[in-house]
Amino acid sequence: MRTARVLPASIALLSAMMMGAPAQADDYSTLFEQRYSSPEDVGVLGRFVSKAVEVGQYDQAISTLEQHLVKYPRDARAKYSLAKVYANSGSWELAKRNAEDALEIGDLTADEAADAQRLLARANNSLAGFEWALDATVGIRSTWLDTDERYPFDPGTGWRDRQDWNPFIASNASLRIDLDSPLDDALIISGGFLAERRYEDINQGAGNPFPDFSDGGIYLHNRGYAAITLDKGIETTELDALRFQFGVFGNWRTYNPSVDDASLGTMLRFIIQPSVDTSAYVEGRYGSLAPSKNLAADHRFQAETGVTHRLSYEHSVGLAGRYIYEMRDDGVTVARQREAEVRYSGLLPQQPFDAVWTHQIGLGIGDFETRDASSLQFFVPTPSDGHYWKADWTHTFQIDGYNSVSLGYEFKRIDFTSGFFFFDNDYSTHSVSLSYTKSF
Amino acid sequence: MYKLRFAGIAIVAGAATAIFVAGASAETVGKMTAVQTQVSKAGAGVIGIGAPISMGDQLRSNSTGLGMIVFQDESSAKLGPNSRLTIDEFVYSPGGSGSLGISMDRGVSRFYGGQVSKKGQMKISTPHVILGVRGGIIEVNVANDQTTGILRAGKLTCTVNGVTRVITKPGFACISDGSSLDVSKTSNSFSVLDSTARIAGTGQPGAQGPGLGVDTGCASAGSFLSAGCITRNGRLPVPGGSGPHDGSNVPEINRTNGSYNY
Repeated sequence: MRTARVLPASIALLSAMMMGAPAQADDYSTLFEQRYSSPEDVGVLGRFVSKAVEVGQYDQAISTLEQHLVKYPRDARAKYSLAKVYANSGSWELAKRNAEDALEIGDLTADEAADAQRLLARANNSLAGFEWALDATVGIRSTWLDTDERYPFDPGTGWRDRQDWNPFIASNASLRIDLDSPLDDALIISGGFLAERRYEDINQGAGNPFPDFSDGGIYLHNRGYAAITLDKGIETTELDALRFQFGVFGNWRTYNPSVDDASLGTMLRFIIQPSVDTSAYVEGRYGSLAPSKNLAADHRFQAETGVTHRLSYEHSVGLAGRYIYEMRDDGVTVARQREAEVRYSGLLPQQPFDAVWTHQIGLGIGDFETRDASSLQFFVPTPSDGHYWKADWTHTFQIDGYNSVSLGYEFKRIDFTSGFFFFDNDYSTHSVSLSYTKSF
Repeated sequence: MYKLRFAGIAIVAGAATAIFVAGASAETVGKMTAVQTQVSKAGAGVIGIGAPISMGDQLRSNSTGLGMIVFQDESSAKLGPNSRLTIDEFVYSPGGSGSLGISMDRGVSRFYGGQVSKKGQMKISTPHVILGVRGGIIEVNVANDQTTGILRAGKLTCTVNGVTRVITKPGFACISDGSSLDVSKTSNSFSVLDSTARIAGTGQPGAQGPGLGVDTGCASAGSFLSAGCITRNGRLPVPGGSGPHDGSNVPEINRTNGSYNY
């Protein structure tokens, strides 16, 4: 089976990259000791600053660069580096000051000077109260459908193993409007879309028994969102941070020409950070499904809670639980889904081509129950129950702030415990994706 | 008999405490890592790069002096011209919490949080206000009649007469004369701390230096655009974080709504 050959090969390739790339010789603590004992050694300072930035210890990188600048106040590259690290910290006034100094000193390459000018423009926007982000992604995904073929001899069942190559494009944009408060309150307007050509068959190969539903085939799958979110801090001295977010949103998703999932709704979320290393959140969402097409449900309720913890500079873990409930106007349940997920994020010690190499591993398990055409992951238009588990592994290479490449693998296994004839074919999907993202 | 025994224990305990404090006060807690013109230590005169800093040390700069002190927990302080500060407290065990207390009675300085500020308490006391630093960077200016504390990154708390205000937005400041406490956005910028002059405040061009660069993705061109590099509210960036696109500030878990996984 093709899947069995290609997937191990992909994983082996990633593993070889992880093992083969040159490792950083020293860890953060060792480099700090060197900085402390050799405060005038520019090589030592440079290695420590790089490591501190790599692991997100920006305050340490800043103090080290400023230590160097006490002796060399007109080191343009140090000023330029300092401007970037201050910008990463959201300290735009000092980012601007250091970028201006670096440009005034005039000892930068043409590329560095151009980047310093862009940073300066960003700093001016941010200091005026507006920050924006826009990125565009292009990629390709190869998906293998691996069915159990429970009814292989039925001539009406076209639900078979298959592989497809699916190109996709996506874009995300956001505008953050500063509300000028000491707790960093902001109004965030965001939106995005994804368009992908891919195989979809909601009837699981059972032909087209329902006149309103199209047969399986390659369709343009679209999804998108738009949201306005108020992000507000709550003053606390006991906790590291306490925030709440309230928003309205619109989501849409097309499965095939027959089914549209579109919702308009509202969201409320609380975020608690007891320390800089730990964050927990709880949120609720309601969406009206009135704009949808061929879905039985009229309302969707979602609840989610999670906690994340940074284990060390390079490693963090998260745990989340979700519950989704869909119902009709008359109160009849259409679908339920429960899911638990554990996730690991890590920074790899290798930096091929000076890119920041990170990876995420996620494991999830859940169950579902549908009583009619539902927009949940199992939208078979007949009653069904079952459970699933899933796993993903995504590598991201942040080449610089403008360019990144992602390589990912996803697996999902679905087992029906009950379902209408032909609609209870257990199956697995494997997909490998490669994408490139450009930020503007 | 019981009272005598208790008194004996108290005397021994007191002596032990005295020995610990004396030992601690002589213990090096940091060192000078950069000096411009003149920084001196009370009782030791002018000091240079590499000079040890101990608990109880009082440091002062002259009218053109700049100095950087790095503490063992990675905290640091940049002493500006005409400034004076004293190391009151330093308790730190690697990997654990601790406390760092500095009093400052004049001048301008920038403080950078280290391990203590992330897991314990880092406090700057002035005649007018007590400033708490949480995983970030602040600037402090002590004048005769008031103190200004400006947040540059992370979280700043300002306490006067039992009243505490919190700042998490860089560029906001608390200002206190010792009786009142105001929080507002400030245009104050203590540019003398970032002077490009050979001697701060003189306008004479300083040394250009060897071109210290940073070779890593989050300090590369446009890194401020990278969601994985951005940090707010003192939250350190999490590898692979999804960033601000959905305004969630909860990047560690992949969102099922509001952002996409490709």
